[in-house]
Amino acid sequence: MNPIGFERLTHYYGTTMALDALTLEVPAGCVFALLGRNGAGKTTAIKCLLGFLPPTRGRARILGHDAAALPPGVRNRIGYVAEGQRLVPWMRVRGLVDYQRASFPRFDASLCAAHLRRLGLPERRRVLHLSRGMRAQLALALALAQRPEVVVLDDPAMGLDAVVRREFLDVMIDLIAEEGSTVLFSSHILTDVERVADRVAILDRGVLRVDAPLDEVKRRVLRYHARFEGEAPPPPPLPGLLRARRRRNELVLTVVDGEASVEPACTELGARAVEVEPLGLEDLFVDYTAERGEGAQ
Amino acid sequence: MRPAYLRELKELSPVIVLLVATGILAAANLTGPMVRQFDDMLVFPICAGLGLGILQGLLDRWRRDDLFSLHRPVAAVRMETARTLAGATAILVGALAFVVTHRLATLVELADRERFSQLLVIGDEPEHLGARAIGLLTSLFFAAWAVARFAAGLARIRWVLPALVLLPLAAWSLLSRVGSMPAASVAALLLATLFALGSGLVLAGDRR
Repeated sequence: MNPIGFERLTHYYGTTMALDALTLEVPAGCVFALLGRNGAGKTTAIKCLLGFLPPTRGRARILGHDAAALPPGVRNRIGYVAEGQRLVPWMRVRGLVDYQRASFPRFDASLCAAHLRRLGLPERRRVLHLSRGMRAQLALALALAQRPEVVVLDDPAMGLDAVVRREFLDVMIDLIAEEGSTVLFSSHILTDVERVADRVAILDRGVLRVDAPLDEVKRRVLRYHARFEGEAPPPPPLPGLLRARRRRNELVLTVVDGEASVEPACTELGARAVEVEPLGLEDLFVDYTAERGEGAQ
Repeated sequence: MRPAYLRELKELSPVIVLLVATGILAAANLTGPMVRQFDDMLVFPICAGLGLGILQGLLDRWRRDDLFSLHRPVAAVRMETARTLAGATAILVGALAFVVTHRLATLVELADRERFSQLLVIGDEPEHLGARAIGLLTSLFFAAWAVARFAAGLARIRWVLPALVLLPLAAWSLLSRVGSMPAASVAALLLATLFALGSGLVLAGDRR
């Protein structure tokens, strides 16, 4: 059984739908990125997964247990970094480490001390006086010192500048590689995701639109530029069409598995040339989640 | 449970300082005839108890969004027990400051009267509050605190423990008013707290 699973998980805040029948599995040892725009349902999914929010329907499963009733022993095997790295502000770094050590039986104090030294975090400074980057690193070091089997990171790099974010990710990659844990992390910084994720899921307004290995997504989703003599016509009906835009004499189509269908369809419309452009994750994400244009599904 | 208890106690430390200071000031000014104004004193523990309960309710509400603190391998009932014990400790420390100061002030006044009895004509004899009166004051404190926590909490677990503290105290307080129980209020309070702790620990399940 996979360490993390969502089975038709649905959550409503009052009458507002946050998640609609989310179903996905995170395989063991995978670094899984949950992507989506603000309000797409990433944090809601994570809160349901950790038992902080009861699902309206469906269920989430972590380490073989229903997330709605996680026993303390299972929680001990899960490392978690919450959105915004809210730690206990009045505590000193050393005090916070002691607090975690007393709470988590698996907490490895020597591992944590090594992480703190490596990150250059001052043990005597209060959390309140740490920079955002330092707080993020501290939260990660504390979560990983539990030697967790599953690490859940909710937008861990949010609010960090590019340099600090890069440092944070480097540390995260190294630390996770050492432990071999399963990682689920949410983010909307796609360059980061591209560097670390094995598999991605894209949520759009609570609905799962993609769940596949990153390489496969990049291979299957391509952008086609069809050029015409005059004004570009409306897009042809194509299976897997994600987004279509017309620019004077050019029709730009983003299509899933369109290698066999796009070129003949455009040629039939009178296109004089069709060029294929591989997409980076950011373009791909935008085409999945932005307004889709004419004829898109 | 110990880290959660110590953390709650640390976060309540300004309130504890305030309770101790108020207890000392109230007790130091409560000698001689002022003992007879006992009824007026009933307001203090009620206000202080309500204040402490509301503060802990606010801390609880804030912690519902504090996912760092919620994600730990401890059953919710143990976390709640730790917070209840921290609240009980705050009340006991305040009550203790009051009792000690009151007894000392009475002793000092008695000694002064002894020394100056040949020179002065002194009217009222100094009195000190009995254990039953102090027990009643402390019980009122606990009662107000439990009511405030009940009002502030939404889940059942948030009011079960304060209620368990309150019940034996209320019973003891009632009995001591109508009978002649040889009361050691601090011992009774400790017993009530231990009872609450024991009851809390047997409540099964994680109601995080």
